[in-house]
Amino acid sequence: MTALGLFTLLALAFGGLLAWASHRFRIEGNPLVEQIDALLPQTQCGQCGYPGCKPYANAVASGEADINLCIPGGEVTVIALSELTGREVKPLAAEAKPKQIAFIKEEDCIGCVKCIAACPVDAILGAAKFTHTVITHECTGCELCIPVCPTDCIIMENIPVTPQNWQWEKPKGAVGEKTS
Amino acid sequence: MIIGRWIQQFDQWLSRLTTGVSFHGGVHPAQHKLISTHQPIQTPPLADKLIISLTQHVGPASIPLVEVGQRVLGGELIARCAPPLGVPLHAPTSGMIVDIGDYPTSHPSGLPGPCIVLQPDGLHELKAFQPKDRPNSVQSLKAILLHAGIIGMGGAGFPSFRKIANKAGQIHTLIVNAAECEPYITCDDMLMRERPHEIIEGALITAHALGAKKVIIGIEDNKPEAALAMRQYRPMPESDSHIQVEVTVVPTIYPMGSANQLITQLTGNEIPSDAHSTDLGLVMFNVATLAAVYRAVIIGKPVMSRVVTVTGFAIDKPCNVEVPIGTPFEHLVNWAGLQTPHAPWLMGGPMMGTPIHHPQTPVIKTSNCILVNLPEPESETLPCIRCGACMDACPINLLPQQLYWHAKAEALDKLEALHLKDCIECGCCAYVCPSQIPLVQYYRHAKVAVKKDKAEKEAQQRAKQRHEAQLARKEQEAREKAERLAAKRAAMMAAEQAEKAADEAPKELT
Repeated sequence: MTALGLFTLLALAFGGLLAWASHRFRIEGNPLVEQIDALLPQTQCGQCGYPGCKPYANAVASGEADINLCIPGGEVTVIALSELTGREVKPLAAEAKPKQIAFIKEEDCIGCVKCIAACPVDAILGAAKFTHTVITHECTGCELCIPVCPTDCIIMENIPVTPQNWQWEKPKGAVGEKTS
Repeated sequence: MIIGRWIQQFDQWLSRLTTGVSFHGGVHPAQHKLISTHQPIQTPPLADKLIISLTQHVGPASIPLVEVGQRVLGGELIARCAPPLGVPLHAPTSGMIVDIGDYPTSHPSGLPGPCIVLQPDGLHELKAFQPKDRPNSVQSLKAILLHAGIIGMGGAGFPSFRKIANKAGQIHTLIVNAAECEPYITCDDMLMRERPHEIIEGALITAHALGAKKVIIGIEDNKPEAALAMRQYRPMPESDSHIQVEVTVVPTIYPMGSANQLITQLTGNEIPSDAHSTDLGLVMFNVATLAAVYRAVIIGKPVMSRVVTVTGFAIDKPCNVEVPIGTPFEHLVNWAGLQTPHAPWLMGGPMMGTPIHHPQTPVIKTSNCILVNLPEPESETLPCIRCGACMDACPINLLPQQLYWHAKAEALDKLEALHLKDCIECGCCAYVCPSQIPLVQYYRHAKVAVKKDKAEKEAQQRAKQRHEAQLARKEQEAREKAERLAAKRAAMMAAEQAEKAADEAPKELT
C-alpha cells in the first residue's frame, strides 16, 4: 500500500516536471525546417516549384516534396539533404549548370521596373523610366528577371575569371586511377 | 597531445644535434647557384617599354595618377595607393606614358591585369630626391615605407608598413632574411656581397625606429662571401650604436628562407599557427627590402628598380641584373642569351616558382628570378603508396598524405581541420614523393576551393537576409495599405453617415 502511494506520488512529481520542462523549453516552429533551409543555396529561384528556399524547406520537412528538386544546389545539396532527412539519394530532377549572373543591356532597358519587382534579393537597382542595373555581387542567378522583361534586355552571363577568383587546376589522377 | 608534443620536441632536439637544423623536415635540392655568381650585378640596356603593374603588392590595385601622353620623370609618383592597404608606384625612369590598360602579369594564372605602360626616353632624368632624417618613431618609419612604395621584396609582396607593430618597443629583434634557400636564385647573395652597407644601414634605421635592440642576419652557409662582406661592414657613425648586429650562418636546407622556419632556427621559437611573429616581439625583412629602406631614407629614392637573377641551363650567360620595375622578362632573357627557344620560363626558383605564360610579362617589385631550364621529360604520376616520405619532409609538421586524399576528394572541412591554411606551398612533399604526385598543386587548388566555399556561404547568408527583408517589407507594405484603405473606408462611411444625418435632420426640423 505504501509502495503504491509512493509510486503514485513519484509519477505525479515526474509528470509535473516533464510538463514544466516542455512548457519552459518549448521550441517555436519545426527545427528541421531551419536545418534544411541552411543547406539550400538561397537563390530563391523557385525552380523547385515552391516560391523560395524556405517554402521548399517546409515542404521537404513535411514530406510533401522530394529532396532532389533543388537544381542550383546540385548533387551536393541532394546528398546533404539525404543525410539530414535519412531519405534515399536520388539523381537531380534536372541538369545542373554553373552559376551565372544577370546582366542588363542598358541600351535596350526602358526602365519599366518589372525586373526590380521580380528580383527576390533586391539585386536590381533603378527607378521608373531610368536605366536599371544589376548589383553583381548580390545576384544569385535565379533568372526570375528574364521572363518579365518586356524588351528581353536581360541576359545571363558567366562569372568572369579574374586573378582574384582564379583557381589552380586540379591535377589529373595517377596512372590507372579513376578520375572523377 | 602532450606525448605528441614531447616527441616533436625530441625530434627537434635530435635534428638540431645531428644537422644543426631546428625545424622539422626540409630537403636538399641541387643548388646550381654558382652559375649566376661569376659576374657582378649588371645593368642591361633599357627596354623599349616598361609595363608597370598596378597589382604588385598584396592588397587592392593602385590608382593611376597619370594620363596617356604625359611625360614623367624618374621617381615621380604615377599611381597612388588605394587606402588603407595599398602602396603607391613611382616611374622607374623618365619617359612618356603610352597606355593604361590590361597587360599580362606575373600572376600564376597568366591573366592580364591593370598596368601603366611607360616608353623610356633614354635620358633617365630623375626627380630631385629629398634625403630624409633617420626616423625616430614607428609612425615616421611607416610613413617613409608607405611613400617609397616598399613591399616585401623577398617574394611575399606584403606592404612593409603593414607588417610592423604600431608601438615602439613592441619589437625587440629585427631578423634579416638572407637565407635565400631556393636553388638557382642569387640576387640577395650578390646584393649582400656588393652592397652590405645598404642592407645593414637599412636594418639599423628600421631597428632604431622600432625601438629594437638587436638585429640578427641569418645567412645560409652556402654564401660565405656574402657572410664575410656583411661581417666586415662597419656601421656609419650616425647610426644607432646601441643596436647589436649579429651575422648568423645557418645550415643550408630548403626551406630555410621561409619566415617561420628561419625564426625557429635563429631564436628557437616556433610561431603558433594563429599568431604572428610580431606577437613574439620579432619582425623579419628581406635584404632587398632593407636596401630599399636605406635608399628611401638616405637618398630619398622610392622603389624604382630591383636586382633579378636571370639564370638556368638554357641561358647563355646567367647573371644578376639591376633593372627598372616593369622591364619585360623577354628583354632580359634575350639580353642574357637564350639557347633553347622552347624552354619553359619560371618566375622564382624551381621549388616554388610559377610558370610565365607570356614573354612580355614584366618584372615587378617581388620578381627575384627568371629561371629558364631545358624542358624536363614528362613524368607519370603513380598511385600513392603511403610511404610517408612527405610527412618527414614537411617543415610545418602537417600531414601531406592526409591532405592529399582530402584535397582529391574535396573534403573541405577535413582539410581545414588538418590546417591546410598553414601550408606554405614550399614543395618539399612533392620533391620527395616517389610517385611524383604534384601534391602542392592539389593544395593550391584546395586552398582556393576552401576560400570560394566560404565566400559562397557568406553570399548565401546575405541572399537569405535580403530575401527575408524583402518579404518583411512587402508584408509591411501590404499591411499598411490595408490599414490605409480601412481608415479611408471608415472615413467615407463616417462622412456618408454624417451626410445622411445632416439630410435627415432638416426634415425633422421642418
